[in-house]
Amino acid sequence: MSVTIDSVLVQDKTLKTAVLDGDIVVLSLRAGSYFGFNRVASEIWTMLAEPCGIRRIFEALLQDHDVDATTLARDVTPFLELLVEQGLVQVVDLSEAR
Amino acid sequence: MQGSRCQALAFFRIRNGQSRHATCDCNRLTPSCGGTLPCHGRPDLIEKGMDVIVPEGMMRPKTTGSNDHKIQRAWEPPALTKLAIGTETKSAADDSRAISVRLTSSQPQPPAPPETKLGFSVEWAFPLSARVER
Repeated sequence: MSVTIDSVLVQDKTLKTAVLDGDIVVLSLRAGSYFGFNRVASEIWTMLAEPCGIRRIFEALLQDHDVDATTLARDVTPFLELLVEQGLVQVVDLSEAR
Repeated sequence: MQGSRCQALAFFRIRNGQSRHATCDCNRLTPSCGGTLPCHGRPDLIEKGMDVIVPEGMMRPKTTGSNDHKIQRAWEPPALTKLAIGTETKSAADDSRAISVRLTSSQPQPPAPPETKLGFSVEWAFPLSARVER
């Protein structure tokens, strides 16, 4: 499922998460890997603890960081797609939720 | 003791410059508050007085420019570092094997067989019993 600005994402709750020096490390047995998040990635991951729209993620990051919308979208969109691709987050199907 | 009564009302009168408002009848003595404590007996009077002193509109939090003072953090693109568990385990196995090899090469050699020792050879050729004088 592709990620759009209106998509809603949520963490895969089966993953084991730890915080090391303020950054988040996730263990995915399914992927057979550890995933280390940097500071901004950790912030995004924290937002995704509950189902969260990508639009809201963008707004929160724009408000908290010294970055313009274009740069933010260019940096964050592939990151979110990577999270989905690696199975770390799931795209919430809003049509099923209704 | 008259000057120490109901300090909150006194504050109201001073700020408002009028004395026509209702007076506090709590008569609570506050000898040590120094005119800064509110009236505990009639809090409604305090609220009424404050409404005159400070208009209600001014007490509302400002909605514009509230984020002006918010410090924005420096931006760094979000990054994900992937470390395969299998790779790490294989690497660790290689390391342990390397350590094992090093340990093998540094271990002392086992003692030589007894036949190669001079004392044993002499004893074998000339047993002690043969050398005992009778």
